[in-house]
Amino acid sequence: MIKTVSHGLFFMARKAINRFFSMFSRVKEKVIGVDKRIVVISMRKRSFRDRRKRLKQERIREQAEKKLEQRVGEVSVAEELEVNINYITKTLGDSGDLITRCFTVQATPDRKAAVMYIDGMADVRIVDQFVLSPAMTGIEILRTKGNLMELLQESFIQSGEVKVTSKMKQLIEALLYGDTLFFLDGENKGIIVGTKGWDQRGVDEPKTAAVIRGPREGFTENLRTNSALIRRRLQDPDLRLKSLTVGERTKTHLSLLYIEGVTDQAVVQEMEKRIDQISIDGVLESGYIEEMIQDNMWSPFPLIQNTERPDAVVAHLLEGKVALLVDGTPHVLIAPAVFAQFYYSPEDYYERYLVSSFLRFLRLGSLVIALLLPALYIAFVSFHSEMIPVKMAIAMAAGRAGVPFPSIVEGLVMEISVEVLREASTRLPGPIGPTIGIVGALVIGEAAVSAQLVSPLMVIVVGLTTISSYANPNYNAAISLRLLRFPLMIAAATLGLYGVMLLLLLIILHLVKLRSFGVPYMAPIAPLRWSDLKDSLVRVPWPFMKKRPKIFRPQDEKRQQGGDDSI
Amino acid sequence: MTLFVRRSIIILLIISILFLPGCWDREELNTLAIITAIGIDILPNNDVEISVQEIIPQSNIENGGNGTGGKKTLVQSGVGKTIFDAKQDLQEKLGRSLFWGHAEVIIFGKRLAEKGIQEEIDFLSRFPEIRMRAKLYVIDDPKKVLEASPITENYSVRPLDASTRLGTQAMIDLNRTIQMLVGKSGAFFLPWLKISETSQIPYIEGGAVFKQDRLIEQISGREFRALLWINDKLEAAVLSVPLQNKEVGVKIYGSKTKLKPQIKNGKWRMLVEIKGEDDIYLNETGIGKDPEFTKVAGKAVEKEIQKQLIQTVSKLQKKNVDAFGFADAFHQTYPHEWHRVDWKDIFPRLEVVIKPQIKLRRTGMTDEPVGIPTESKKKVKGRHFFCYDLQSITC
Repeated sequence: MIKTVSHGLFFMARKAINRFFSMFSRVKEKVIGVDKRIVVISMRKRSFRDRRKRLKQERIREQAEKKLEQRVGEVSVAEELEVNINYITKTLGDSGDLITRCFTVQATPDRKAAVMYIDGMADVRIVDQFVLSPAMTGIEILRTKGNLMELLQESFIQSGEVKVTSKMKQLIEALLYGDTLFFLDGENKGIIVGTKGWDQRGVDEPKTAAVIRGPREGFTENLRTNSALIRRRLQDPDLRLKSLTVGERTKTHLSLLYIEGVTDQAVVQEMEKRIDQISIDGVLESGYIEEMIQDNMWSPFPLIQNTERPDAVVAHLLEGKVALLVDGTPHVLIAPAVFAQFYYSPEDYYERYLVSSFLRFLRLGSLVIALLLPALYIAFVSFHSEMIPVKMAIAMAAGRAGVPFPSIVEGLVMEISVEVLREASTRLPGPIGPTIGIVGALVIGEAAVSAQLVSPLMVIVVGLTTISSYANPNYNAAISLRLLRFPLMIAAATLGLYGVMLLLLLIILHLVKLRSFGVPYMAPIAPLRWSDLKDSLVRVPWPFMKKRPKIFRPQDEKRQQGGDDSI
Repeated sequence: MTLFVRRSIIILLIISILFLPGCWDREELNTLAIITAIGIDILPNNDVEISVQEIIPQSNIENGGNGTGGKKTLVQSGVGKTIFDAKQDLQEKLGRSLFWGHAEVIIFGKRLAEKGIQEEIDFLSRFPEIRMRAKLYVIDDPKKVLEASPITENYSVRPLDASTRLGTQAMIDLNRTIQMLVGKSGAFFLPWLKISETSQIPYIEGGAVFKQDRLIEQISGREFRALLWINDKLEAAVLSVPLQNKEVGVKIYGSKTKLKPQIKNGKWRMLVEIKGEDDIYLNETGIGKDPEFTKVAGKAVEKEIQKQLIQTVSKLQKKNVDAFGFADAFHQTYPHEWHRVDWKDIFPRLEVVIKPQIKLRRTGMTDEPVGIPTESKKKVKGRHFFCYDLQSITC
């Protein structure tokens, strides 16, 4: 009797635990088929709430499409020039930056034509010199209606990118992306001339992830410039670039980059599938996409890496990952990502292996400090006075003698004020930022100590913690650790070291459970991949890294001569 | 119940785990009375008095860094029928809660030691906040040590730690005391303290030998060293050895003692083997770097050790106190014979053989004694000549 009851309790508990942990992730991996390397990642059965949300989204999308249908739809280009011009002008709502130039081809009165482009988006110089000028002056002969269109397209419009279409929707999309439209009276077709040429920022040194040794080029806001920066470093015919568009209204262009024959096709398919499911009106930065395609949106840890460095993107592509370029932002997404790679700098691979291995140890140390130091301080001061060495305990007691608050309040006040200072100094205009930071940190810290609001040791703890969190080369990973510091401090103040350990265990459980596009987040440590440990806490010299990391399941594992050997 | 409600209940429960059980035993460092030393003594009316040395937390900022910023420690006492009562009395007198975790030193008064410290040791071994590594000492008046304020130190018991680190003295901690107390011989020993008049620094003057829990004999520093030596507690010792009516100063280090009990034809015998190395620090004899000298000096050192150790052993044999751990050694080697005899009868008549094996390692920076003209100079000249010869051959 007791046995059956205890059995029942056990199963209930196991079920509850399973359910609890499955809350945190919505992706399950299944290995099917004969080829075990193909991993199909299927979405977990969505809950009722998710289904309702999806239905609503679908309804909204249908409505938006219907609206677009009404406005543009499958309207074809009319033969009359006036009708076409009027239609486009009306569709754009008589927009002020839409420029329409009507003229007659080669001074032939019955050959009316029109050029339309958006001011600022199209390069006016190209429009004038290579579209308008040849059409207006260059044509010597020909009066047949049919041939003129072909001739224009083939010979007279001097542009590399010319396309003829009769679909109004396509024309308007091209117009809005900076191209110039060419209409000829009596033709039910329009010519799209590639004249994209808006003002843009030049290739500049990246503001984040600065390196001492390594290329200084960073991505810009222009998608094509960015893809060119990658192409220039990776002149491989197998580099694939898939163009996608996301955003009902912004029509943001994306480029999905991977190397065919290296990257796991399952990841590429999954990525395309997830991007396909996005339906949003606007995408202004890659962060939108990142949040919508990542495996677990509730996790504080970033599951997709972003970088401003083309060299880093190429390195990741060569490891068998997928890069996603988003138009309008210099931050390129890289997936799948593992926890460890957020603590690597591109420089680790350029600098000599001893130096970079040392730096990685240093970063690990700073990770531990950034996460744990305030919590440990609070735990030791509040609960475990016997664990502090005698002389230090006396000094600490002396430092805290006049402080009116318990250590948790002291810690929270200091940590929050540092966060405020950090936030303020990033928002302040350029030259003032660091000044305010120094003034704030020094003056407030010193004043707080002499006013006996905080103990001197707490100032040291907070300072060390803040600096340590900046030793991380990836900003978003550093922020997530800074966030986790606060619950750890509260756990330390309530349960002491026991609480810290409890929460750390929870965090580790969560980390081990996480997956990014089917790759375990803690790989190559959990699950352990011995061969991939070559590039983990230490980086072995390049001659020893003959294979690509196995955790990303590359199709071609060989990286160097001899890499196809068993080890 | 929808999934959302269920999830939020689970999350609420997890959060409440964090807040419900915690905090009740939270005690901030600055609300504690940090104690560095405990003194236990008995009053004339048989009440137990417990005194503690409490640190007054002062930071350098407050007293302007001018070293002499007033008293650094405070001595408070509590009196009670037993040590537990005394502790409670003390706690009530103090505003802050006592924190015993940093008490490194426990000092017993002579009067209490003579009466017996079983009750106190029992309390100390039960009380979870006391460290098992706390060191135990005996002195006439423990309060004097606690009240002493050496100028060079933050608190008075700090230098005790340093002297044991030199290796010429050994600390006896609570754990070791309990072990010795429950051992077969039922005797143990503690260092005896004295306070230096000039510097107010307490130091180990000698030893106190206990039988069961009572102080039996106060022994001198040399005897205490012998006791430590046989107990394999000594790492280094400085000896002045007579040789040809002059003195040779040596420092013995890395000393290891092994007890080898033997029973032959019903005769009980204890062989004490001491192995170690020594350096010469002082040489009055005038004999230089002679191979014979190392032999002679080695013999003299061994003889001196034998003499000192045997003295102490026979002194304690007369008192019938086995503080050397011989009883345990015999019990472990001869368990059957052990049960047939009474150790009290055996120990006073036990034959103890001390067998030191000390290797002379270094004679110092000079070969011959500085400032003593002897015939050995000739030898030195000869050696130089020899060296010269050797060089010419190799060239």
